[in-house]
Amino acid sequence: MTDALWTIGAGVAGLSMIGFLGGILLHYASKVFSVDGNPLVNSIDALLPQTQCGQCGHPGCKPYAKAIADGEPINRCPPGGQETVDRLASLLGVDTLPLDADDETIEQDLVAIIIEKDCIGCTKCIQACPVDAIVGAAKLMHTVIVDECTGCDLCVEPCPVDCIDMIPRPKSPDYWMPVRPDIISSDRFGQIGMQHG
Amino acid sequence: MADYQIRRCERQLEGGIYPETHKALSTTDSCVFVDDPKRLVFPIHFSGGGPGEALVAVGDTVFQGTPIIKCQSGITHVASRSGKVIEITDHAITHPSATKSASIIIEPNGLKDQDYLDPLVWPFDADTLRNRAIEAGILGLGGAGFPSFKKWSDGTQTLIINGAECEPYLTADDTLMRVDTHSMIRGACMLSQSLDIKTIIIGIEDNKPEALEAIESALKESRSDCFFDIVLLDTKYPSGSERHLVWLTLGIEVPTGSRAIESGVIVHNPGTLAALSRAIDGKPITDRIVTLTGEALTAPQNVIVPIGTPISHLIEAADTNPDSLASIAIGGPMMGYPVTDFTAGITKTTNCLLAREIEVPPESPCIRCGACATVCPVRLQPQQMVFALKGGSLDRAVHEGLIDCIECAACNAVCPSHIPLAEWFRLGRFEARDKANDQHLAAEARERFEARNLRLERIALEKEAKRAARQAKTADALEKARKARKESA
Repeated sequence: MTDALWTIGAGVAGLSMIGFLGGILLHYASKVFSVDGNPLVNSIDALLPQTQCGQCGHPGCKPYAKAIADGEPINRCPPGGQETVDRLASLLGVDTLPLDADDETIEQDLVAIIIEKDCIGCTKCIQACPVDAIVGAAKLMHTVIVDECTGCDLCVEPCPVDCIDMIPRPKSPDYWMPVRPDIISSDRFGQIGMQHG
Repeated sequence: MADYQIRRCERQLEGGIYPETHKALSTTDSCVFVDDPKRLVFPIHFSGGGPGEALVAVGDTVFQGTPIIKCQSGITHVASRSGKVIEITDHAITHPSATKSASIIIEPNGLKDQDYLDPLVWPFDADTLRNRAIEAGILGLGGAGFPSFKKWSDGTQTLIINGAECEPYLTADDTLMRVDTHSMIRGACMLSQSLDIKTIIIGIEDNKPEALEAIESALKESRSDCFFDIVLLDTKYPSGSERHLVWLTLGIEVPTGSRAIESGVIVHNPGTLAALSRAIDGKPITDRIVTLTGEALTAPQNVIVPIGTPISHLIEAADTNPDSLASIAIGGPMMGYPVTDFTAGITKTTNCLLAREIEVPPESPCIRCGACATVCPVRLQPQQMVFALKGGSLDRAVHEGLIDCIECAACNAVCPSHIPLAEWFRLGRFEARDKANDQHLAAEARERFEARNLRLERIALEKEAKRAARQAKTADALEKARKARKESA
């Protein structure tokens, strides 16, 4: 009888010990391997186009990512287009929404260009640029680093002499894209969601 | 005599097809120069080596070998004949985009004025050779036009001469290996010695016995101490694809997303090495061998053509009226592309003009036969990728392995529904490349945005600290003044 009690007691004690040690281990693991910030925010931010344009009503892509993680609608990013909305929907496991934007703001890849002869060197656009894509100094001409411009147009408004234009993003002279092959009618059925036969 | 061995390739190409080769059509024993054309066309951005810049102006006189275009990669293109620059204008180009692009038009004057480089004297180091390749405009003459000097990294063990020429109808490399064997061998040896490569492999399909013979006799005369390993390949398409050739000859599988050079292997077209040999003697690329072939040509043959020669001139050289053809395929039936404007000039990468009339039957729905997956040499599932692309899901296609597609079009050739699979894959690969570029830019923009925010924060904190310090100082001074007044009072 006592043997049996000993066995049970040892078993309980042993399991408690394992549980206790495991608890300590988990505690330290959570400290050592902790992730800074909400990991979901980073995943959302990775899908956003990083134009930092503020059209969503937030001062940049990261803040909008935070807002989405807190439950804001996912369809407020015009530069990302419908594709970004769809990707966000599949990341978050929610239904996709139609993009909340005017038609003309969608699908335009623009960059800012400074009309250099008109620039007075006031540095206002430099301060406005969220991605440091404008170089220049006070009373010296400014210019846009085209490759780094995200086309957010935040620099256009502050310019006192109205010397910043938005133009389509220039392509390399050897840029080309193959022609899209025709889609035959049997494929089109599938595209608009109709069933065959 | 150089050491060499001939062996049969023991590996089998997985997938691939046995198309009718039609090579007898254009194979002749000789290869002659065509008469100089009346105009030469040099596209500034599409001559190979990236977007370029014109080095000459309208009215300039150029000699054979005068640099006329400098590309972003450094590659310099030269005038292929002496003459006068008559125009710099948008002109039809030999390119799958079928657009017009800025081109330099030269009118040859028939003189033999030359403007060559100084010959290099052995021994020279790899850097000298790289510079020479840049000055002489050496790029992959097999069709892709990759700047050759970029392949020549130190620590390479093997040089493979790609004499497979698996594309049907083409015989330009075959012809070059027959008539210009010594230049090819010499170029290969020079490159190997300057890069300290010990083994040179020649991969050649077994349907080129004459070329093999020519190589053997050239090697017997050669005094090089390089070892030549000649590998006879089955005549199967696409054994001449760079990655497949590396696998067949060496058993090295080039990992996805990397080039052969990263596995320590350089693969060159025979023509590139022959051109390199001449470049060492000071002669930049001014001519190349082009196969004129196809059932619609009266006299199919291989000819030596000045770079920039209009296509119409070559069709005439094959005794055919250019007006009788609606379009011509550049580069062969599998991977070639059609050109309809025959005023376009050939470039360094134009290896073949194929004129034949074929009717492509209309596309039908996919019947899921899986023939494309059986022949795919990269072991992909082309039917899955094409479903994804037609449905607008690029991500899905990339997930299926679109990036590894070599666009060999073996799937097109076997598809019983005549689906243009390879066209879809080419488009998809371009779109995927654009997208990757966008993502790269977005990542950089994010970094700059975050760095800027940190900077603004730091500046705000610094300002705040300065203000506090200033306030403390004023308070201090005030306190002192008060004390002083009290004491004096």
